[in-house]
Amino acid sequence: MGDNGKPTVGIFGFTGCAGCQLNILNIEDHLLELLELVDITTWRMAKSENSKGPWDIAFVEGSIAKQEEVVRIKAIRENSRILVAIGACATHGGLPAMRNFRDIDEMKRIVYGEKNDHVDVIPIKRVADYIHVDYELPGCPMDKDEFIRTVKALAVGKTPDIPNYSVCYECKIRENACLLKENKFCMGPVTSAGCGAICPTYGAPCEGCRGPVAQVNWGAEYKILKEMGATDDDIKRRFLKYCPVVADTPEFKELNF
Amino acid sequence: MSSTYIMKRSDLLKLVQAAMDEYDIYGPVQRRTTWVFDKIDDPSRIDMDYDNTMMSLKKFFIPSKEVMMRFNLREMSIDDSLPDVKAERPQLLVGVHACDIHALLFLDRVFGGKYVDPYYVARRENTTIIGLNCIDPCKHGFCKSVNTHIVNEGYDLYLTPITGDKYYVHVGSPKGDRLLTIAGKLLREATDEGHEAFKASMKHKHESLPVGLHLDNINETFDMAWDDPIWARLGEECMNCGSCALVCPTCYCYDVADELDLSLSNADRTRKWSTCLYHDFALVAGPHNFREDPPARLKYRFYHKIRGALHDHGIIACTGCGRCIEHCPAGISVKDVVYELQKRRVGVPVVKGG
Amino acid sequence: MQITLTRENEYLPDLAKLMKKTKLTEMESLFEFEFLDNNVRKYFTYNPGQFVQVSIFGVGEAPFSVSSTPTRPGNLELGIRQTGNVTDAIHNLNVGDVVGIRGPYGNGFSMDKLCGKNLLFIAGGIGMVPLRSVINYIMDKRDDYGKVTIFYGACLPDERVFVDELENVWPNAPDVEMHQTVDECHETWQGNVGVVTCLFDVCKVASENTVAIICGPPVMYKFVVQDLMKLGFKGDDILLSLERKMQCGVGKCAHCQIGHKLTCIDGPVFTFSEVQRLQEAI
Repeated sequence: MGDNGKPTVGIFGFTGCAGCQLNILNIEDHLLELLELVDITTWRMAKSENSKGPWDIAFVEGSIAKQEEVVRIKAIRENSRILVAIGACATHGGLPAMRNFRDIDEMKRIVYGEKNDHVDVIPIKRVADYIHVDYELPGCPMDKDEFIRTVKALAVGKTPDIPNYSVCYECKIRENACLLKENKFCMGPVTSAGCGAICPTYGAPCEGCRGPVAQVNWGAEYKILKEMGATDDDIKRRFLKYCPVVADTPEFKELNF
Repeated sequence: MSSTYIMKRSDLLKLVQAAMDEYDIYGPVQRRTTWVFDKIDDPSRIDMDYDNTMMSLKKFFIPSKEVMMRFNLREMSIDDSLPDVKAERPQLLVGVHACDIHALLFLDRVFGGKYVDPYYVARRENTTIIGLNCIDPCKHGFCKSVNTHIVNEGYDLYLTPITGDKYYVHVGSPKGDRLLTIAGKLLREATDEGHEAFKASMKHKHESLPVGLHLDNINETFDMAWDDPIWARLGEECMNCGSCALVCPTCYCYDVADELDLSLSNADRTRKWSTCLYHDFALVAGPHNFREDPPARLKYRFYHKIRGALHDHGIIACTGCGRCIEHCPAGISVKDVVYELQKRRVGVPVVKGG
Repeated sequence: MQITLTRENEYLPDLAKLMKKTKLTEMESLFEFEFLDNNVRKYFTYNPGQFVQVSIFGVGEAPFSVSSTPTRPGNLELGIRQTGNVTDAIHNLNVGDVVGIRGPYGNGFSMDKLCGKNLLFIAGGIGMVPLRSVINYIMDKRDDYGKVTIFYGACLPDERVFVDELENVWPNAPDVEMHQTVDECHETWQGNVGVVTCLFDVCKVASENTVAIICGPPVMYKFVVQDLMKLGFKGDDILLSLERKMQCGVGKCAHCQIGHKLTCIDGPVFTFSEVQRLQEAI
């Protein structure tokens, strides 16, 4: 707790686009009310003076892409009572982890030239691969309302309620016609809800940015997309785009492609 | 004194227009590849030739999310939402198919009984229904197979399309009488000619609606089928996305949660739809999950809708509306499943098709 | 005769104040509540085995079996394990804090039908929470019931609930036989070691004119019932109090459905004959 009795909060960025942190700034309407609940003592994006901890709650954005980041995330963990990973990069590797599927030495050469030994690059992982994460707010970007709900819950000592059922729930409630029925490669059935099915609502198929639903049945989705004419590559791209870490899960390996 | 009338089909729009002062009006409107019951400000948007809506009428009686009560944590007081629900403007639902009226009659049993759900009942009492008799089959429905193609109650007016672009109108309740008053000269008493036209429409209906399966011995079938390999097979296809239950007109499961406001001094107690397909549906502290395996949850849904509903309410909780078939991303068909089980289990003649 | 106050909205809780809080184990405490409203206090009664829904405003609502007995009017006693949002909040309550309570719900035990019977209680862990209500009801009307045998099993000695009654009250009551066991050996423990069914070897139970009443963790029921059947118990003479997820408590939300029955309306007390006909019940 801070001097004023409010929980102290640190917000940290790792490898990613910083869009989730920006989304916290975008809360605008409720940001002041939020600051009544917690004391943000560290947030380099928004503050010039920042505490070095400890924090009651740490929100961590971005994937872990460098050795230096491994050290830093461990230090944040040690200084935080509760640690929440925010956004697809932090929870599932996100878009940056696409590089895991390429030859890293060749990429280093292309970007940094022949003399690239000093470049600190490791295979990209999500935050939970290095430290214990208490809660994950997935999505690209993380959902603002979910963030607010989580802060409220943590401020009163409750476990935040983060959906683990499929996007179809929110899509059906909004009475959207099913995009799979329109032959669009939608990831809704195997993706966790919480986004309000925003993409399908505007006619764009779900890209799976919130990661797999509880007890995901990849095989069934694979079969549906395959019958619609998707190639294995199409499907792999869909499954791994925002969530490269699922490539290591047994359910995914079972697909054998 | 007759309670049957004749109305020109085009005059329905005039009736809706005239009713607008008194009701919030909802009717079938096309949206992309499906239809929805939408709020009607312009009666010409109503599409009475609609195949089926994606969401049934349940959204008007158990909204997907509703605040049941509000708590003031400082004063420790409770503010019930029921008076607000009761004060809502009356709603008029136009063009409701027979299967959906049957679904409401089923929900009436669930939300009535020993304990009455006052929010449901308040909305039900506040609603007037203009039913629409389907005389031609829809794409995925199988109402005649489950005996929901005919209704004798549950509507206030019931429209049967007859020759000459007219409706044969039956009045089912005092709320229907109120609509008659609003309709005024748009309706005139049916004559023998009207009765004959109605009979012809019904003859057409009986000939055109297929019967795809039957429900003889359905209890015994389900009692025998608990270990049937069909459940494992369906489990491979089902993603437990819950679409079937969400679009189902008789699925009513819900979750309750409290949500604090940002001042942390007020909270809403909200209920929202849930489905038995979801992982935490039967999860208790411990943690112990009474249905941990996804296929067990799919099977449970079938058992609750058929076996459980028969036990509790004497009727199955499937109206044959076909929504779950139309909206299942994996293409699982309740009709085909029941057909297959009936065929293998009780071995009596079953009809395929429809 | 149970008088219930008719109410328009069954979902609205009544306000109740925490009067006393007693630690039972590391994880469980006994909470005693009193309704604020005089009328509710006067008319609220229940059967042993029924449950109530407790609300912590802003956190949520959850069902809890009643541990007190209607034969001792006064505070409503609930034995509660700390295991989630609502129970965390209940454990954090201070005496004098106000919660919401509605109920009682479920069938509970038909105490009239049990009159004249010998009773065998088999409880595991916090399965004793609802059974304590029945046992104390019988203690208060001792002449109406036959011999009482109590089997109680817990994982560890420290995890036993209502230890004072287990050790000092019930064993000293007339015609009561009390046996306890723990799953794991413990330095300070002199008694039986093993799962609760090991007590069948310690104490010979006669099935004649006897009703067995069981409550415990989900895994326990099947094994206990098997042993009872071997001893000649009939399905109708085995009563099980079952746990399920509940949201409404009044048969609407469908979370507690077992096969074609609702735990909150048809249960939580079922005969084994009923349970036998329900898939996935135990």
